[in-house]
Amino acid sequence: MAGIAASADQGRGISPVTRRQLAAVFLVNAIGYLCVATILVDRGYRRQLAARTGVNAYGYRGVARVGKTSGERRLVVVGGSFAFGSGLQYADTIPALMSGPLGRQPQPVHVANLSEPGAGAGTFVRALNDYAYLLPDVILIVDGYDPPSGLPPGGGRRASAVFRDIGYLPALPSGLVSPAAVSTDVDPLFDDSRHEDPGGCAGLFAERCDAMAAAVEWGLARKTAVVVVTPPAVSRRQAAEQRALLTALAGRFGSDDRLHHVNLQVPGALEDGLSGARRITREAAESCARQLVAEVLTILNGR
Amino acid sequence: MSAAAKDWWLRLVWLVAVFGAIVVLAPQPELTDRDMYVTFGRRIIVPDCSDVSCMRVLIGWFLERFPGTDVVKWSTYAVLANAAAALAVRRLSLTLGLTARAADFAMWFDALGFGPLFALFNPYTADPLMFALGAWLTDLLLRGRRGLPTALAAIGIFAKEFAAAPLWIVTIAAALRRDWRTAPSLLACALTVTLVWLSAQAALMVLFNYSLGDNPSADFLHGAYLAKWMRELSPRLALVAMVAEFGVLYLLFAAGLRLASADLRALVLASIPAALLLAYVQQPDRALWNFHFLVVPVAMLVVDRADWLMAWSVFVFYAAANLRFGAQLAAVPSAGLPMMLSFVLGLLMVVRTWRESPPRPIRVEGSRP
Repeated sequence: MAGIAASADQGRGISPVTRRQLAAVFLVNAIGYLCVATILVDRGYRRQLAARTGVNAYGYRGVARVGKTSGERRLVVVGGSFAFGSGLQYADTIPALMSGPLGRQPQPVHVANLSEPGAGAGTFVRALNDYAYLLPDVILIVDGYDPPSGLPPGGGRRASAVFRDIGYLPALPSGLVSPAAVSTDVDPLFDDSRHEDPGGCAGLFAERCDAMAAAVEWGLARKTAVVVVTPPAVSRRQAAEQRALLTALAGRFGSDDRLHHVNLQVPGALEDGLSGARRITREAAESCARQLVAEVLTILNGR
Repeated sequence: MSAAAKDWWLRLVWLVAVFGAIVVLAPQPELTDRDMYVTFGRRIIVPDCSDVSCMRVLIGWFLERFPGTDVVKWSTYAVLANAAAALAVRRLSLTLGLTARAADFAMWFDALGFGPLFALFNPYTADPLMFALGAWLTDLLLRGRRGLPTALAAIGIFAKEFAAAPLWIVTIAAALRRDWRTAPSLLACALTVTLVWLSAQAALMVLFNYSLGDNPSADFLHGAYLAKWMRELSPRLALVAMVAEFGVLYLLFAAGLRLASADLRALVLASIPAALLLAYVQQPDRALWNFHFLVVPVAMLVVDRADWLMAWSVFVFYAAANLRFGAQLAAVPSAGLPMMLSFVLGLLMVVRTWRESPPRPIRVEGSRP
């Protein structure tokens, strides 16, 4: 080996690699291998985490996808704690229950749940922008219980600079907020003990209505079917807010037949969770999922 | 044009003519990876790709630049890459200290081996390029080049990961020879190319959700592709497939090791980890041909000691068997008889070599005793 190389070196007049050059190459390699190792460890940890929480490497619940093949149909869900399924096992959440029957369609529908626990309606457009690459065919916008200005604990996925830059949500170092540990903060404006008149979308609910309208507009502007979902109301004031929102949306987008509404008023749907927050029962979640699947299939097959 | 260049072109023309004829006569394969390679070539990046081959875009991408049907483009590529591989093996043989006669035999034994002929039958694979790169990179590294082989391997890994293997083989061989003067720079080359491959994999995983999918090759803890291969093939078929891979070259290689220089032996020894790994994660009967650039020159040490008639007789029977086994030419009679004859003659050749008074290992000028 030495003989072959040495004689060839002399013959071709190749200058030997200096120690300094070699050291530089080894240093670059060491840094590179460290980066790759970090990414691979993160991927491994993320896989474990995804099995537990359903949140994939791109920060949403569902099977990870970054592209869309021709003929593929896609449903995205935006919302807060209710849509995320705070306090529930991933398999018991409404979007997860929908993904079974939708995935078994002759032309399967892939469900991506972009919701984050604690995320208010004010974050919906940002979430839709972050995941615009998913190219949804239907968007479910869930008007949940969180205050419209609510943010996920710790800032959620957007707290990660890596996610903001490239859309990948590293599992390291902080990991994910465990859904079971998240309590659902109900918007104080839904408290029936308050005396002031909320005044509908022109009054105290203006922020919520505007944020919801912006999310609806985002979808309609992209020629996407939008379903506004109103969950079981926790109070009379929330029921009033839901009515006001639908009136406002009808006034603004009424002529657009791509806008739909599903009202998930299932009696006895909510129960007290361990953390004191209210959560949807398994039976109610199944019932809600069935309603939503029927609506989504009507929209997709009616196209 | 110099005489050497003229000879080189003449050899190339011969090889292309022979391969071209085989391609024309070979039947169309029923099952190929054509769609996969063509898709990768057209799209380069396929989001959510879940296959070990997702990153093997180089050849598809390159061939997409040319007009013509897929079958013509891929067959032309197989012909040219196989010819380049045979020429590279000839050159490597000379670098390794073999005689010009042995190097010529190496070229033809390599050209009409199982690997290249199977690639002519089914050209939708990165194998022909790997056959060429294996020999070419090894030769460049042994001649003291570092930058060019590193760059070529760093590009080659986007055709198939094997492109990094020659760098590791030469590095390990240098370490085995305790050649601490060249080993560090070789290690730097091998590490760099491997890092390029790993970085590309990691980037594609993160940015485009690439994964290894449920490909058996990725199931490392459960026997990888070897387990699948052994499950699907009966023991008899598996044995036939393995014997057909190198045929009489197994025999000649084993005998040739006795005659090989310490440098060549070190290279063979250094290739064992890569060969075991590749045979584990890939279809073993096809994987092992990647190491043709060491097996063939070692085997030719025996062939070179045989007379003209004996050497060419072995070659003719060996090639006839491979035309049937590899290129699957229906016009060629069954491979069994020519293979058996090549083994018988090969055995005679080995015995005759063995009887010669103690073989003097071929020593490369300047190598250590």
